[in-house]
Amino acid sequence: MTAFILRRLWQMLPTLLGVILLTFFLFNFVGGDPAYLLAGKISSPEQIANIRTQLGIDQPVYVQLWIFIKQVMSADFGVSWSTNEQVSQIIATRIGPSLTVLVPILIIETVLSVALALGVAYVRGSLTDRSIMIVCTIAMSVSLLVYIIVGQYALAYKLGWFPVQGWGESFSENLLRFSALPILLGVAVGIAPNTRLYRTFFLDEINQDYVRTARAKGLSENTVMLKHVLRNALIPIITNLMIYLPGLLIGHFLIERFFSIPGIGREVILAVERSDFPVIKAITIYVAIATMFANLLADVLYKLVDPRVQLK
Amino acid sequence: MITPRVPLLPPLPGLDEDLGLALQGRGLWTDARRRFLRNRAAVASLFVLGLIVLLCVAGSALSPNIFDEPDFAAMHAPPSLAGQHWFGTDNLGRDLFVRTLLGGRISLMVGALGATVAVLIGTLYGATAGFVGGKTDSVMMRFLEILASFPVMFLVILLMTFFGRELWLIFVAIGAVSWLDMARIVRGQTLSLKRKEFVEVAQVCGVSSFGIIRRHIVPNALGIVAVYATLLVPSMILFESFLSYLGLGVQEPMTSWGALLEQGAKSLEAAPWELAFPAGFLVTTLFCFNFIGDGLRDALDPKDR
Repeated sequence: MTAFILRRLWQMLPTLLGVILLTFFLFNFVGGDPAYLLAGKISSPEQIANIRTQLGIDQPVYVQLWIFIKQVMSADFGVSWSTNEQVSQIIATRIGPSLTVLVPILIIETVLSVALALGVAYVRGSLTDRSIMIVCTIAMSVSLLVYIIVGQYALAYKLGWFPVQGWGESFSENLLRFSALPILLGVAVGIAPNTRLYRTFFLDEINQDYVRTARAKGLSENTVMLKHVLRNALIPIITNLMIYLPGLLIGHFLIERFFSIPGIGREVILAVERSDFPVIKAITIYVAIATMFANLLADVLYKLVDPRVQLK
Repeated sequence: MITPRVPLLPPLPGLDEDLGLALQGRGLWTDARRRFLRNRAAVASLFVLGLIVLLCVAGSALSPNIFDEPDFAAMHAPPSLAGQHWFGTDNLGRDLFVRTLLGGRISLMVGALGATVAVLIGTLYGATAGFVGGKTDSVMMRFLEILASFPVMFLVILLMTFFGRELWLIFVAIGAVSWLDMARIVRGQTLSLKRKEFVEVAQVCGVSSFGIIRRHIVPNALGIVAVYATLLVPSMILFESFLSYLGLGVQEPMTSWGALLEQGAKSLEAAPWELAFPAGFLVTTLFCFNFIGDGLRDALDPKDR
């Protein structure tokens, strides 16, 4: 296992290098000259030259690339162009609020959709199954935007069950008061497509021979479903979760924006609006790294769930 | 061994033609069409979707209003069938019926384009990687892995920041990121198709690699491609609506369903119809695509699902 993890970490290096090159290329050749962005509309050639020296973009490309690689390795992306705050500081303070909302969404949504999917897969073809599937398809077709707009308006503004938006100081206040509605809406959005997907995973397993064998030897339905079917279907479920995980951080920035949660997603939007390249670069690299680790975590989890999996 | 012309059992009266028909054999697509047409929800969705598309393409001609022309006499006017503004007007007095249909045109175009690019690039890329295999496959897949490490939304936002917020760029950006999953799916299919006998036969007969990919691999993988492409359209439309909502997508006075939602949300209290009509159209369209996709999957991949 350790050898496998080490080897996989080693294999990440070329991918990481690719990500760094792609990011570098995008920002340096496609992104335009940041000196003009920074100098603003009224600028003299001296000012532009001055800014270029400050940013180090008057140096040859390979020197710049080397600086960027060093930045990635030391996790120090300099200061934000718009607020002069340390980028590492920005990320460190924004990650907390994001996780406060995302982790509960992920856990609640996964538990509920796995349970629901297992239930409807068990009674497949019945009226219950078909109606739940239709409800899921309808729920899936309602855009996240509509959920948020209507949810915020009806539940928070009209009925006053939740604060409309805001963020406090203490963790418990944030989690229980300010995150409650965002979490509720996040779960509502994710549960429908996941239930549909997991149901197909369970159905694939339910039709297998080992399920018939398990029934034939007199195991209770609970044991068959929970110990046999659920465990075997966990592999595709884990794959789905891991694909979904890094995107979740960014993907829920609509939620962060609507509810004024000072998280990573909102920071991305702000950075884009201000053309704040160091922040965007840093978040790009971190998200890519998170994706790679999520893939590694998926492989390790496969092994834990299913001893037959060969780690190569 | 069985000769279709001579039935083993004496034919039942009136079943002659039926028997002859059954023995002719049916192709995958004929079979799939039958199964699809039997799925009432999918057929109804196809019909509704057709209506929506027709309305979006040609419907603006029904109304005398122009999408970017304010009617200062009627700002935030409620919908009325008797009056001039069937869906009401927005904060500037622009007719919402025309704007909703225009938004639909943009949103549907984004969806269709994303799916087309995904089908063209994704299928070819995936089929090539899977069929050629070896080093080429590793390099192509590693490249895919790098692209996939960027969250899709993020990549598009980056492109938007760099190139400015122009309409055609949304199309390019969405197309550029939509093909990744498709390539993976097709590669997986290709890997399993590659070992089938008919591919070996084609190789023995001296058909070139590209010829095999084009004539044998791609048509056989087309079923799953069709299903996935149908399900990709709604996700592309949603994606565009997020972008437009964040102000990164379609710019005024052009509009899309996402941009209309954004405006509707602002005046939800005073003029709920400004949200209701675009949202209704968006949700109905996505719903139809999801049902059609389900129907296609049941028709082309008949497993117990």
